[in-house]
Amino acid sequence: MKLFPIILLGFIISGCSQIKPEVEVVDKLPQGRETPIYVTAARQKEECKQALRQAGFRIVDRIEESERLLRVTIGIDQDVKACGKLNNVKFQLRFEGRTVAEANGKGWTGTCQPNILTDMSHDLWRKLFEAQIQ
Amino acid sequence: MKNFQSHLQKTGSALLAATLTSGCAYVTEGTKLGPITPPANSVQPFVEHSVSDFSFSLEGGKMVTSNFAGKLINENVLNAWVDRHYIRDQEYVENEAFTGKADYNLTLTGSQYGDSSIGMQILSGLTLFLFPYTVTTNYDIQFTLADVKTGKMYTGSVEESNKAYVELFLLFALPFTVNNESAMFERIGDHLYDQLYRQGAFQPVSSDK
Repeated sequence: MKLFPIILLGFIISGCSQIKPEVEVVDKLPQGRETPIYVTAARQKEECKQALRQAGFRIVDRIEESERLLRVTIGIDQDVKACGKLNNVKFQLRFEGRTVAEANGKGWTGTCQPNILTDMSHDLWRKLFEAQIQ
Repeated sequence: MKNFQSHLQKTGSALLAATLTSGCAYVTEGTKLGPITPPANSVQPFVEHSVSDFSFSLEGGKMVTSNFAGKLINENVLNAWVDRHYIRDQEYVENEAFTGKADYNLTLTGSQYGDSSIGMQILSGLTLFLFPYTVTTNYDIQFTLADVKTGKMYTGSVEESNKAYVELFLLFALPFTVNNESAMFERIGDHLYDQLYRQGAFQPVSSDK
C-alpha cells in the first residue's frame, strides 16, 4: 500500500519528462547528405526546418525540388513554459508513399533548451549518415 | 445550373466535414491568410485532382482517414476555384490515376493536425455535449500542378489554422460554420491559385513557344 504513492509519482514524473529519441532507418538517402528534403508540418514548421538545417540536412522550400518528404507531427501540448511546449514528436521521412526513416521522441519544443526538435534532428542525421562518417 | 450543383457540392462537403468533426460546432474562419485578389485569367481549364502523401492526425482519435480528409480539402478548394471562374471544372481521381483528359493534374501533399484536449472531450461526452470543447485545426497544404500538354510542373504551399467550438446548442450555428469554412477555403484557394498563376500556370500558351 505504501508503494502506491511512489508508483503514482513515477507515472507523473515519466509523463511530464523528456523521452530520448528513438530512430529507425529502413533506407539510406541516395545522395547522402546532399539529398534535398521538403518538410511538412502542421505545427511549428519553421522551428522544425531550422532544427533540421542546423543538424546538417539540406532542407528545400519548394516541394518539386525534392523527392523526399519529411513529415513532422507534433502532438498535443502536455505542458507549457514561456519558451515553448512539451510535446510528443514524430519525424517520418517518406519516399514514394512509404516511410524510409522514423524518429520518435518527447520533450520541449519552441525555443526551449534542451530542445527535442534539435535532438531528434541530430539523432536522425547521425543514424542516416553514420556509415558515411566512419 | 453547374454553379448551383457546385454550390450544393460545396455546402454538402462543408456540412459533412463539420458533422464529422463535431456534430454541433461553430468553426472560425481561419487566422493566418489574409484576403487577396489573384490576377484575372482568360483560360478556364479542367483540372483532375488526387491525394498523394497527406496525413491527418486528430488528438483523441481518428474520425476520418487521411485520404478522405485530403479529398475534402481538394474539393473545397477546387469548388471555390470553379465558383470564382478560375477553372472550368474539377474531378477527383483515386491514387493519382490521372486519365490525361484534363488540362492540368493536381496533387495534394501535406499535413493536417487537429489539436483538442482529450479530457475536455470526455467531459463533454459525459455531459452529452452540454459542456463545450474546442478543436484547433492546423493545415500545411502543398499543391503540385502538372500541365498535361507540356509536362511543366508548378507548386503552391499555404499554412492555415482555424478553431471549432463543439457544444450541443451550437447546432444553430451551423450556417455560420458553413459560411466560415467556405470563406477559409476560398482564401486558401486564392493564395494557392495566385502562387501557381504567378509561376505561369493557367495561362494561354503563346504561339512563339
